[in-house]
Parts: sequence; structure tokens; C-alpha cells
Amino acid sequence: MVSPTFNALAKISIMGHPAVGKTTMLKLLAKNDNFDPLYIPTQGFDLKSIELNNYNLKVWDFGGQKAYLKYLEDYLDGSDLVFIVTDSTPRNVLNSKKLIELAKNLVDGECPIIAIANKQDLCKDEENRMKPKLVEDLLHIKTYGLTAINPTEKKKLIEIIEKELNHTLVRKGLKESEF
Amino acid sequence: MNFSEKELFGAALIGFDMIDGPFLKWKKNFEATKDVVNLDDFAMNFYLAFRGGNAGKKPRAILYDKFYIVAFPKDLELCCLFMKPQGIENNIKQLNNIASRIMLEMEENDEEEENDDASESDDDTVEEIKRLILNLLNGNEMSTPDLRKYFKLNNSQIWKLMSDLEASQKVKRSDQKKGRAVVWTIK
Repeated sequence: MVSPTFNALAKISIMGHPAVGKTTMLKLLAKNDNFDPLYIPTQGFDLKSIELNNYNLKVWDFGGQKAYLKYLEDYLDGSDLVFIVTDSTPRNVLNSKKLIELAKNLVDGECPIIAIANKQDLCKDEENRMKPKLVEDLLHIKTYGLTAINPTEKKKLIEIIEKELNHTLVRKGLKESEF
Repeated sequence: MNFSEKELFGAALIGFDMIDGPFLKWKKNFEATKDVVNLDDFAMNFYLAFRGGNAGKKPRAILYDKFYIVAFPKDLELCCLFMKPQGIENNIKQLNNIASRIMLEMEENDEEEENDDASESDDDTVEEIKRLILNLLNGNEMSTPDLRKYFKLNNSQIWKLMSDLEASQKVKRSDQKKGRAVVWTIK
């Protein structure tokens, strides 16, 4: 049984550099949102309320442009789970290290910071896209592979979120470990 | 502007919780409106649109396609009034004409002369722009001027970048052209 307090407060923040697929990931989670191939950068922030099986989530999607970084301190506060999204190119993965350090300084120690190695569908065609394991080795945080433009990956993303939030609940003593 | 209360079709009060963020505190529909706006979905984004950022000027009204919102903040709360855009269609049409003219003039100026304001980018920025261009072209075809709109670059700079990407065989020219402009795609 999930604590009703935690249930009401579950806040997920999605960070990452521009055009790595943050908003596509948010759309994958939200209902009735189809993938639009036209890239429109997020202007500041986008927010959505999403109901999962056990959680009511507030998902905050932060625009990746440098100008928005200064506002992160205000809006990242209180996050229960932070995703750092990369497009799985070596350059972007390495640049994401700075974002991870920034997030670590802004959220409390109990909040997991998880990397998403997005655009895994391109790994087959492009040699310069990295597999999740390699991204994890470089970033030193837990990393999951994802293809956010693929609607069938919605289930996978939900499982990742539920798994990580469950861990947070256990760490906070709000839920007993299932193992 | 003359105002009639009949233009008002709804109102909402958006509160702000330091942990949870913006939330819909109260709403009222003054008349039945079909899918003009789903307040539950948009309350948080309205809040940020009106109050986002820490400093500087904030908007009082935002015009959307089918309605506009006038918002009044009090402490952390924001009271939004939803209005039918009656009587402003003509103004919008005129303003749209002016905006189109300005954008057209800007495009023509860009073609005639290089923009001196565009500064030289460092290597790191250049590589980041190349990464973004490849992402933009993934599954898409875009012309050079279309790509340029995403960055603060002049014609020479975007062409140098595209030439570099072409030389490294990451992009290629599409068979089609958009006007006189080259259309690019991923190789």
C-alpha cells in the first residue's frame, strides 16, 4: 500500500540538453498524445498530471536551453525522481555529467537521479550512439535505454518509474521492501 | 477596450504549493463551453506562463486561438479569467499583417547582407549545434533557412556547419529544393 502522503506528492522532473527527447518522453507517459515529428523546443517548462497504477504523478519537463538552468533551483525542489535524458551520443552523454552534478546539489539525497539513454532505435544505424550500459559506465548513475518515439515503450517507462518510486518509498520508510 | 461581462466564460484560481507546484484550487464555468480549455490539464502551465521566472515583467493577458486569459496575481495565487476573443479578431488580423511584413523584411535583409551581430561560436558550441542539427534532421528534411531559425547564426555560419556535416558524410542534400534553398537530410 502506497502512503497517501507520498502518493499525492510524487513529483518527477525530466532534465537534459535540448532535443534529447524529454518532451517526447513526457508525451509517451501522457494519454492521447501522439508523436509529432516536428521538433518544437519546450519554452521554459511543461507540466502534466499523470495517473499511474499506484501513483498520481506531477511530471515537470524542463526546457534544455542554458537560459532556463538558473530557474532549476526553484523548480527542481521537492522532486521524488529526477530523469537526466541523453540522446545516447558520446558528446551529449559527457555533457550530461554537469547536469547530474547540478541535480545532485539541488535535490535531497533520497531522490534517485536516473539517466535515460534515449534514441536507442538509432544505435542500429549509427555507430556513435551508445548502449545504456556504456552510458551508465560513463555517468556513474543507473541508466535505462529507451526509444521515446516508440509508443510500445510506454509500458517500459512506467515500469521504470514505478520501480524507482518504490525504492524511494522503501528508503523513506513509507513502504516495506518486497524482497 | 470596451468590456462586457458576457465575454467572460469561466474563471479559475490557481494556487502554488512549494512541493507540488501550481494546482487548480477552484474553477467555475459561467456558461457551457465545448472543449475550449481543459483547466485541469492547463492550470499548471498557465501559472508558469504568467508567473514563470524570478524577475522581470510578467504578462497580464495571453491570447490563444479560441480564447484569451487575463490573470491577476495575489501573493502566490493567480486568478485567471477566461474570455471569448470577441471584437479583437480584426485587430489580430491587422497585427498579423504587420508581423508578417516585419518577418518578410527581416528575411530579405538577411539575404542581402550578412548579420554582423552573430558572434563566432567556440568549438564546444559548434559541436553542440552539429549534434542538434543531426537530431533535427532525424526523420525530417529541412532547408538551410529552416535549420537556421533554430540557432543564432548568420548565413555563412550555418552554411559552414552544413558543409562540415556534409563533408563528414553525416548529412546529404535532398533531391528536392525549397524555393532556392537546399534541403538537407540525414545520410
